[in-house]
Amino acid sequence: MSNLAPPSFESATKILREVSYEERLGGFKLSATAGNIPYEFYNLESVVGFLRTDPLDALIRLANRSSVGYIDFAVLARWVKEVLSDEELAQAIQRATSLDKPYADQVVPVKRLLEQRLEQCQVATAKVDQPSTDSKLV
Amino acid sequence: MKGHMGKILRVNLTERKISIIETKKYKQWYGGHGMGSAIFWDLCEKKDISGFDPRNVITIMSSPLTGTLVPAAAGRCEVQAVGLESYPTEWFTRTGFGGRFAPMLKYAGWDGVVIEGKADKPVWVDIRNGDVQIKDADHLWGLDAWTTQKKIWQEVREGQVFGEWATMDTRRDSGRTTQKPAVLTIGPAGENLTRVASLIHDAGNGAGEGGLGGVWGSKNLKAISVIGTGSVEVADPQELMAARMWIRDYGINVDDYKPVVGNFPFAGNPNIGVFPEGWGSRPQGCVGCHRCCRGRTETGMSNESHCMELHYYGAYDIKKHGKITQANMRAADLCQQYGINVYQLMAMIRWLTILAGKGLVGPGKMIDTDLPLEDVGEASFIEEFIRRISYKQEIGAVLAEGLARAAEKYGRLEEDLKSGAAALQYWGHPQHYDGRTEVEWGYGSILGERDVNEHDFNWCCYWTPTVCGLYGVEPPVTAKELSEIMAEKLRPYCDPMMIDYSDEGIYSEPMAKLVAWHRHYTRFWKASLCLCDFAWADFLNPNGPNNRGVTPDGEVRFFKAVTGQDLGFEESLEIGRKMWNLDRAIWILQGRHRDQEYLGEYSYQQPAVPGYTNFEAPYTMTVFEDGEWKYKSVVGRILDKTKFDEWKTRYYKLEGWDPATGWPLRRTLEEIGLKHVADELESQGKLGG
Ligand code: SF4
Repeated sequence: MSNLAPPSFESATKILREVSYEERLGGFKLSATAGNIPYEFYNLESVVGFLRTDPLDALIRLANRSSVGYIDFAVLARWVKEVLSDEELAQAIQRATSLDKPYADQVVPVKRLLEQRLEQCQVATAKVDQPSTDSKLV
Repeated sequence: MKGHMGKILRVNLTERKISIIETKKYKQWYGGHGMGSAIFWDLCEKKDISGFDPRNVITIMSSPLTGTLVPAAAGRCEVQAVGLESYPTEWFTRTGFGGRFAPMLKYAGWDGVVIEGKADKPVWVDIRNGDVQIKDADHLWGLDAWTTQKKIWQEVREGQVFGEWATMDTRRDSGRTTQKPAVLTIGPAGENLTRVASLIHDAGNGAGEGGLGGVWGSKNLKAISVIGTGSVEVADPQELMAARMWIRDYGINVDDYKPVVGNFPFAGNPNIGVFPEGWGSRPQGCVGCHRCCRGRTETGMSNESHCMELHYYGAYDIKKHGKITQANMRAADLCQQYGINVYQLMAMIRWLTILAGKGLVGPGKMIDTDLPLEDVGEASFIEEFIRRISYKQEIGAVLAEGLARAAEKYGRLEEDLKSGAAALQYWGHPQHYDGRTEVEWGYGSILGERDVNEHDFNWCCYWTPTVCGLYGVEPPVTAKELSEIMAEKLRPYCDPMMIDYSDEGIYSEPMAKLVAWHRHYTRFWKASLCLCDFAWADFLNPNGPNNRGVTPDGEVRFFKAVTGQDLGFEESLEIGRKMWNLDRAIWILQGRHRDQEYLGEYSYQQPAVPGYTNFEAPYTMTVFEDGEWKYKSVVGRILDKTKFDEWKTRYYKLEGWDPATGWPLRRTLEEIGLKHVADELESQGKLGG
């Protein structure tokens, strides 16, 4: 997994912010019986919470008890870059989501990246007086 | 024909009068939906009334297969009336539920119940075998659906211990039972005349679409209770047993489970549910069902709820808590207790959160409410939300009208239908599966009156290849093999191109055939014979020879064993066509015209990936392109309105309807035995041609 450079207070604040209606990100909860339920995300934290797949074994055994929290990773990377202004994370997502891997194999690496960034941002914003160290964020 | 009990209970609430309709009068309609539509046609003189009008007629019907050993067929019940949910017209509509109500009705000697008029004060109907009484329900009015049922159970079996023998009448061999009554009731959402109220039976059987709970409320009808001690006479018990043993190998085998990715109707897994980690549960099912798709949990929460009740709040719960918690289970229980439709709840929450994102919701804002939207995902939010709608309090007074009418009231409908913020794809009913990609679902819904909610092609042509793609595993059959299976099973058309969901295929003649087949099959086998949608039709089955499921042989074999009637499969589809045409005639008398038959505007306008929202989920389907079959993502599609119009013309012609109006031609109606319907349409200037 990529090691993301810790963000500055300013960048972290931007990454953690509630985005506007026009900037929201879309995703779906997929299940075999209930249809595809659309969801809108207005901050990174809710994306992290939502992103998931059941393991293949559960999918086979439980079939319609299982579900998939789906977000298009190309759209996610673009959202992270353009809305959250986090180019480093966007690039890391792109690297983690090579085209020849199925979606289910990409979820855990992407989720870990998002969790790492979320934690970094929470640390950075908790220390208000910490000087800016990050130059990679646009 | 065996399988019927011979009489239908007719209850006039205005006159407090009980009478009997002989089932044989409607035998050409077989049961369930067909009988319900025919009775409605005869008894509801004015078809274009409001659902709230006391002249509205409710039919609650079983089928000849109800209460027998036919798998995933014995427990379903069909309910019809002019509904309250659809927009802009309150269409004559249908809904259904499982459990044990319909079989109990037959064990009491009735094939169905017809409700007319309006009681002057709250009542419930108490059916104990042939003894029927209309009783005051003052003590039940105001209670939630679960408490109501408990009170009635105690009243009917007063002084008796559940599980022990109770004598219901004096017959020596069939007058006793260990069962408690089966009760169908409304909760506060129905009593308070919302348009989003369900009918509830036992813990988790809800009939939600159409808002018929509000129709019951408008008639002051709180509940119908039935307890019966009889049985259903079948034509050939030995053959019925043999058929049940034959079909066993096609079903779920918990001891020898085939690890196949996807979802398969007849062979589908038991115990659907979205439970918190570590929660134990065991399968539970409707009477006679092998599949048992519901669950009973060790905590007792969300018992018997399944499908959307366990999904509609789940992702909000996950977003809030990072995992499924008790909030999701509480949300399921609340919709059952209040008797409210979860599809509408889900669409409303989404709509409100989108508008809140635009800064339009909150105290003093365009949608002036103190609803704590920041708590969406918490149990406290969904409880408050459902309570306000059910009791028409604050914003709930507007939302109780359903999302379409609420959006209209706030002046948002046109814009939000175009953007998809109000994701109402068919007649004000929330989008379920996407009519832009899986068109048989969308087309069927808009040609009908509600979200069709019939998974026949959904699981094999969409869900299984899609989920296999997400996980990088091979589907159980190739797209070509699936088209061959379909060509064998989709009689009489037998056209593999019917499952071509490519950009061209969705406007083609074969797609018109697919939609017609689907409408006719489901009208007869699902809505009228009450085969459960979660188990039938069975096209693709990993337990079957060469992955072939039991359709169409299974349907006709069971039908014959129970009824003694040799019904050809093609013949059954013709009867389904007759039912579909009768429904169409009713809608036409309510004002239906081809000019109205368009999906929600966003279906033609909304690009799939606007900005950072993606209004479509992954959608991998069967397509025939460049001379070969493949599974291909069709995500990102918007419908072309002109091509859709051309497709409608193809469909109308195939059905024998006038392409200019969408109204059936006289010769079409006469050829299927509906001359009297043609006469009525003609007298009102609404006959095609
Ligand atoms: S599959 Fe589920 S809903 Fe259908 S009859 Fe069986 S238990 Fe009831």
